[in-house]
Amino acid sequence: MPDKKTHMTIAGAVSRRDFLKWNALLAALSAGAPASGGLRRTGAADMLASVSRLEDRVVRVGCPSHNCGGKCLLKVHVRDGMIVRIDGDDRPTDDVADPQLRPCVRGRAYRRRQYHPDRLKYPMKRTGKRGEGRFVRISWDEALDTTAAAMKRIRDTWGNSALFVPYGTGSYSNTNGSHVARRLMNCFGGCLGIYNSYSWACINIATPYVYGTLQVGSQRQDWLNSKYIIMWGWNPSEMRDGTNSDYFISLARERGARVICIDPRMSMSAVNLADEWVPIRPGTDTAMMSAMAWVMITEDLVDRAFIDRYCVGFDDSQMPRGAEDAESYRDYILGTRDGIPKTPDWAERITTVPRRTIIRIAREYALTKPAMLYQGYGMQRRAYGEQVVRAGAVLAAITGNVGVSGGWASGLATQAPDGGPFWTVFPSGSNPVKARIPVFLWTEAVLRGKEMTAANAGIRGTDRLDNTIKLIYAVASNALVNQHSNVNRTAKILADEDLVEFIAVQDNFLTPTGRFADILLPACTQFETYGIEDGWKYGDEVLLMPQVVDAPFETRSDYAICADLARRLGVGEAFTEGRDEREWVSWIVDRYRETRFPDIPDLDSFEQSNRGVHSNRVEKPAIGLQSFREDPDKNPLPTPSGKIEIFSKRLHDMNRPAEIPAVPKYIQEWESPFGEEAERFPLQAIGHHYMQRVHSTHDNVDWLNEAFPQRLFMNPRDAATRNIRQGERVRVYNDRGAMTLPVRITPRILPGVVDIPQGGWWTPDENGTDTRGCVNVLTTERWTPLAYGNPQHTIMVQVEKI
Amino acid sequence: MPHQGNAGEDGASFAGEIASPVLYGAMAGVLGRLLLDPPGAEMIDTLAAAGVLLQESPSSHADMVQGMSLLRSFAGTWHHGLAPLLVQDYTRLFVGLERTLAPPFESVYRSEEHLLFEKQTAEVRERYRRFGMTVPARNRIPDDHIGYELQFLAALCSCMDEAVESGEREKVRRCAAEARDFIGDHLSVWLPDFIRRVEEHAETVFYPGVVRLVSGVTAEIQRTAAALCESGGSA
Repeated sequence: MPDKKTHMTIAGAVSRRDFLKWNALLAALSAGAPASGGLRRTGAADMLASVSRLEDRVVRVGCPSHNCGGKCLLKVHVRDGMIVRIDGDDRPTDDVADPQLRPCVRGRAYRRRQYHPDRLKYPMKRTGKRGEGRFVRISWDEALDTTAAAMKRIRDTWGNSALFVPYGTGSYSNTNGSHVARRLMNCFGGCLGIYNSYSWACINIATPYVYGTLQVGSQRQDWLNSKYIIMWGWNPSEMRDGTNSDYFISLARERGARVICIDPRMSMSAVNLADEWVPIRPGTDTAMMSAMAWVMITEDLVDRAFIDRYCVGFDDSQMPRGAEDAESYRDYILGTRDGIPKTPDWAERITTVPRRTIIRIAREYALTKPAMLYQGYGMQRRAYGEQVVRAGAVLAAITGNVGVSGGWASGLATQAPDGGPFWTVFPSGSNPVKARIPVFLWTEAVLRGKEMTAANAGIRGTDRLDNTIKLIYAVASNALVNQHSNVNRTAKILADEDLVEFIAVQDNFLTPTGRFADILLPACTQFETYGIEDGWKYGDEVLLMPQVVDAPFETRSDYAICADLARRLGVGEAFTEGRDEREWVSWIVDRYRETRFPDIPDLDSFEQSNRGVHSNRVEKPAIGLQSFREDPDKNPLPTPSGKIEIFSKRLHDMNRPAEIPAVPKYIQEWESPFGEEAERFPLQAIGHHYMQRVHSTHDNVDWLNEAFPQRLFMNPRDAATRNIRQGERVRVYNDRGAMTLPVRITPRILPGVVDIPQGGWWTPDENGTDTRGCVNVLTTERWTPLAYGNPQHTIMVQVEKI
Repeated sequence: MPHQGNAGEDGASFAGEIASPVLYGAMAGVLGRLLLDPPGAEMIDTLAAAGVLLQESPSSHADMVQGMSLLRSFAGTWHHGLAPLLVQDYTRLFVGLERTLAPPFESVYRSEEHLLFEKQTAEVRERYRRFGMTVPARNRIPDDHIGYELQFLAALCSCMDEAVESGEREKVRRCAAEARDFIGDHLSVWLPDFIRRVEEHAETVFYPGVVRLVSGVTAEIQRTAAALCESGGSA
């Protein structure tokens, strides 16, 4: 091949010259490259070797779960340091006393979050205006030095009470999550405190006005003893509310219980678990409950003996001292004072529930003993969310379903005998700053902190705030923008650098909250560090979360990041006490052993066993308020009267009867289909907890998105009057904001109501219209009267064809 | 087809022939570096000063020519004021903000689930292992990062070169076969999708130039390696 040879030789000559230059360039570039920079030789080539034998491991591990409402067990298959598959709990011992903790689609799809190409990989700093979402990669040293310097500067200028760690539940496993940042702040002299939550604001505050405590629930195995179960706005099939809650309800039904689901939408729970679905207009549940009480009182179906012995304020005969002449519950229900008897006819007009249905359910609930009325949490995230909590508890009380097997006291019922899971054992420490705000009022504390008092804003620990919020360190929190009300307002507040001077956001992804960061800190997932958890609200088990794989890129655990910040702030030793994540988990295992789990093995044995879970069998479920029921004189409730307070003297004394009545009342909401606002915005919008997500977590997981697309659910009647066709994009708006999203037309939602599942990631277009379906562009920052809680399901909107 | 000759007999042409694998190997090494590291001003200064962009395109492969031309034009207008733009491109394309616009990882394009740390990551890892190589931080940056794949090619080209110099035909053949197969099984499969995404989202011509050149270099290495295999390990 002489021709080819000649050609090659010429080309080769050129190549040699080129080669030297490229090679010199390579050497020059490599000299400046990071030490971690390249593929390297480990030893002799082994090119003839067959495929190396890789060790496959199966690790049983608690699901990262993110405050979804459950705590389940995953089987994670790992090959050569990579997660290749995820299965669920398959323990052969599976019975009612210790059921398997089977994960839902979110846990099963977790690889898609874990190995998502959009993971936040490196520390970054903002380059554009705050909120523009422009960042560049920086080193960990620069990121942490900047954050620590801002913390010091703002503390020195404004004081510790100008520092703030917002509510956030994106991680929830003791060594990961916002409580870790809280410990850091507490070591650093404290920060403005918070109390209450976005989940349970009204139910947390209102339940004790009836029972004096939140601990009024039974262990769930007792649900099997119930004969009649009302799931009122409760949807355990989708939001879980304790792993296996839906399973226990289905077992009760198999054993003969009749199950009713009252909900504006035919939820998965209505389909899976219920004998009957009763659609109801949102925000009117207390009207139906009041009408049920009217039926029970007028037909003499109440448990009079129980009321006489265990309750106060039911009627004139048992009004507390100092309020003898006040309106009793019976007065309210019969309309003795206000002239409006709360009849089924009255309630039908408000709720849309036919009077016959109301009467029938009232009779069934009063006469089928024992019965459970279980309240979901959505209906208390409303304008007067306190009322429905108390109204449900009062129905339980006047039917005598409190403190008995198969009954249920309603309200926020944490479980007997010990209150159930701890949630977090990792010690946040005590906060030297005593001032605490209701968690929902943090934007107020940014805008006008010094005007906020105990009286006007529910401030605790001090009469008046001495600061406004100047620094925010958001860890595992998308509540700063996406999950807080009125996104457009919040975004404006955060974008103003004269208000909050520094924002650090620490998360797994660049969320809508992350867009407002000055510094972004990449956190690893729960599979990439050690953690441990007990159940979510219910449950008698501890789930171990050993580190399964390495943290990729430059991600680090929340704990490790905070520990590094602590060192820079001179409180490293106080923060770590010499422990790393695993050593804290070991410490936590010991705390569990001292309390709820005396038989739990030490961490080494627990981990070695690869069981992933340690459980207490529940053979004889504890009954909530049983001792009170057995002897109310010896075991009074922690209320002022020692009894169940159907009428609350404490609320009476607040002297705000229109918004905070002493007996639970139906109050027309501030945005309502019965108000003037309905002329412009005639549809009620709710934002239910969707199977696709846990709040806003998982919104970027494509499988879940495909299975549960983000869309507006709308009744065919409402669609027809607007000429809207199935699947097309529609515009939803009110005075606070607007969005576009596809519509799902379905009879599974009440006419006059639309549902925009909460948690979609706010994605504004150039005009500020959200394009993803983030319900909070429509919600209001106004708070509920008693709990200072979030009313995010009380919104009126209009929907139009685009 | 067994080759009966020996290295000594056709030494002159041999040296000329094997120049191209080392040249392309060096180019692959440079491109790997450019894709692995954040684009500091110093990096671009070094590139512009090296003179390689002023040379004629090392081959007439269309992507090679286009890549060289894009980089030449970028270097021609280069000044430090452009550095932030380049950093922004790198961040948006490869590091990722809300979205990573052109993830530089093979498995994102090829795995059934389009994720990181997937089957392709493991396959590539195995290829490196068999050649006695490994990524610097295992399970932190996926092994199938475009930069590592290019560095692997660079190593294979060096291997071919050394083996040719020392007359180890079997080794030449094995290295060449490895390069040919690695490109065929991996790089050439996902490069077109990767390039498309870089070209779609880049705001400067720098990275489009880099990935075009990657395509050209890869094609040339594959061609050369295939030729070496066919000739049974000699030129």
